[in-house]
Amino acid sequence: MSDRARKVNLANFTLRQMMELEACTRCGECIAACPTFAEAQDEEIHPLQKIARTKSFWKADHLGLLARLFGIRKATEQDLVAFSQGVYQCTLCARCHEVCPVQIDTRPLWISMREQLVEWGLYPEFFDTLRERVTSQHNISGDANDNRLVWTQNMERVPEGLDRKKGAETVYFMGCVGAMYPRVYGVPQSFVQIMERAGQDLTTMGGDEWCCGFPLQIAGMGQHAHALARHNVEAVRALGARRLVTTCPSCYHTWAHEMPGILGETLGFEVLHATELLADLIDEGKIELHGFPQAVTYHDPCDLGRTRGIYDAPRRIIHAIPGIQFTEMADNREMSLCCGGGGDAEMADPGLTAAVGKRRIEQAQQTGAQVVISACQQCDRTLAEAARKNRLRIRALDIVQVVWQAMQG
Amino acid sequence: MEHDQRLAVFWAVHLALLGLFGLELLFFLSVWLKARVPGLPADASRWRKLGATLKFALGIVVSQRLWPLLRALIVDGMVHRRLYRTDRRRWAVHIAVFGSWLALGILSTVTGVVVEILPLLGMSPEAAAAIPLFGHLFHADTWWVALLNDLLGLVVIAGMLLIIYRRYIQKDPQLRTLPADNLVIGLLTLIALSGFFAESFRLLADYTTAAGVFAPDPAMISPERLPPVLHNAWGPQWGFAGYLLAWLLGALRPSPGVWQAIYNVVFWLHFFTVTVLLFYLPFSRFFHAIVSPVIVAYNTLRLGQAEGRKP
Repeated sequence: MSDRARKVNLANFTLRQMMELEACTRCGECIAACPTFAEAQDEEIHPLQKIARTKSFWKADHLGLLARLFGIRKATEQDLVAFSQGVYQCTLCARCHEVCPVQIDTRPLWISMREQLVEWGLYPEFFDTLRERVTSQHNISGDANDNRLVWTQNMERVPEGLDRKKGAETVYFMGCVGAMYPRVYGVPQSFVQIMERAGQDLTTMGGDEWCCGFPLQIAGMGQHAHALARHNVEAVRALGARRLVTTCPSCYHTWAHEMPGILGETLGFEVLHATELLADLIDEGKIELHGFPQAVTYHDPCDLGRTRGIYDAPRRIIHAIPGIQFTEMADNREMSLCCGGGGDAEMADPGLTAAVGKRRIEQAQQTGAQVVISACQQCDRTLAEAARKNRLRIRALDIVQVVWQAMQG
Repeated sequence: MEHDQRLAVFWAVHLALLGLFGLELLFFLSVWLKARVPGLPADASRWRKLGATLKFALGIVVSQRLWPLLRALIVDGMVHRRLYRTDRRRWAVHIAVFGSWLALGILSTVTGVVVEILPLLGMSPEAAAAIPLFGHLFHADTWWVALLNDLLGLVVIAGMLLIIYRRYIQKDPQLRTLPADNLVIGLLTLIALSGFFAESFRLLADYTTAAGVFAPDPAMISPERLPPVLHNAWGPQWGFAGYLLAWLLGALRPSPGVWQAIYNVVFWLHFFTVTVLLFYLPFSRFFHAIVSPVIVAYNTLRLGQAEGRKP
């Protein structure tokens, strides 16, 4: 795309976001809070710079002579490339939002910037592969989508009715990572066994489960999400389920928050994250916990905590487990540090996300925990990898794995 | 320049600038409306987007959400609750500067109405000055007006000095300074200092006798500017810092007319910098002073509602 064609299309932003760009006071609170900037020390990454760049770009393109009068110059190719790198290295953790004195809703703003960059063709090449995989194979791994239940193959006993059972009360949306990445097969395996033991009528969409569209949405390629959302919603409706539950916070966010907007209609069934359902089942006495006698800490996944506001349900579960020794990390709940695995940033800069993950796993270790619990397969995977690479004696487990182990006694 | 001529020019330019400032805001709004408005197709006309936005805003104003919105506007948009929780020192500096600018702006506006607008509506200076409480604004040397102006001015100057210290001397690693920031900080500092000095030179111009002695007396001011009804409340010494500076400078005893000439220069410098800032404001980082309270209030309301829906 030529320089002249690279004009900011304001339709990629909302009116509120245009005002939010101006509302930025440039106080720098976000710089101190940004986990990727803390590691990379690259000025293009921090929120203040992304906002300053975007303001400068749109003003140069849309304010004409007035912009030039006040010294606002049109962006060079170099500026745009640097901006793109900064925007795609962000993990979308939204910690910046928590400290912003004017409460700029940063996460959607970063995604709008990515949409603009996609329109300009300035995004990491890998995203073309990701788009191709998701739109043609309907999952992020590129494997045949019929393999969605491959994780059941090494289970001693597979609960009945897992593959598209009509009339089941609950549909378990496994998510691409949970269903197709062997490192976290333990998550869906544990979850379906817990549900069976708790007497829940559970099924999955099997090969009819398509990617929820989250990875494309946050990459700035949200225009492809409609077909995925339509297919998934119709598939759940066809099963006649009353509710849908996910173990992945990103899928949960997409189902609960994005899909009604994408489709312009209500879903007609309840959407829950696994931690909410498990906490309720424990309260109702349907899950019997015998013990998990280890020192643990809890990592708040960004998409479950800051994005969806679920902080208490996982802690209710942990506190209900006999014998567990729980210690909070220094940064927790709203101010939790990112594990580095969010925002598709790993695809743009794996070294940087590893550094972010290292900081988090070290913070977990400082609590004296033997196990860092999370409620997100991506966080589990990133934290486990960080522990392995840095040779730290701490395990990363998903909360459903801990619950399942606690049920074994 | 004579007092009346100066004020006539001041108001003519000031009103023209306010009009231009309004046009700038409308221009910005017209560009912003190229962005998406939720619930409308991206290619909807700007008029349609404006209509939907106004309807939405009106929907808040005439609903029970008005009070939470106003509360958020004050607590989050103006008192900056979140910054208070994060860092009380930075909050104190910001609130001092922002609050004092706001208070000075309000004070100047009300003063303008009392001194200039009410007589235009046919009210005599004596009657305008006799209005309970607000009448005291008819002259800057009534005791509490002098005190308030002086205190607020000092707070603004102190705040600006702290901002300069933090940004240019301490070089806080959290801050990033662009060339445009230097311009805004320079303008704000110049406004604060010139306003303060303008007040001292006005005292000297008004209260220096023909013999060149600084000897304040209400009888030295014409009844049109200081109606007798205000003599009981007269007390320029309550503006202690400006008064002290005037008293010290008065000892120089320059030739007659010098103080008036200097006052004119400082007054127009003050006015010129305010004018430049007003014109430049929508293109500068200082635009946040207008936009951020609106955004904070709205986001607090919006995110609070989202919070309420969470389990």
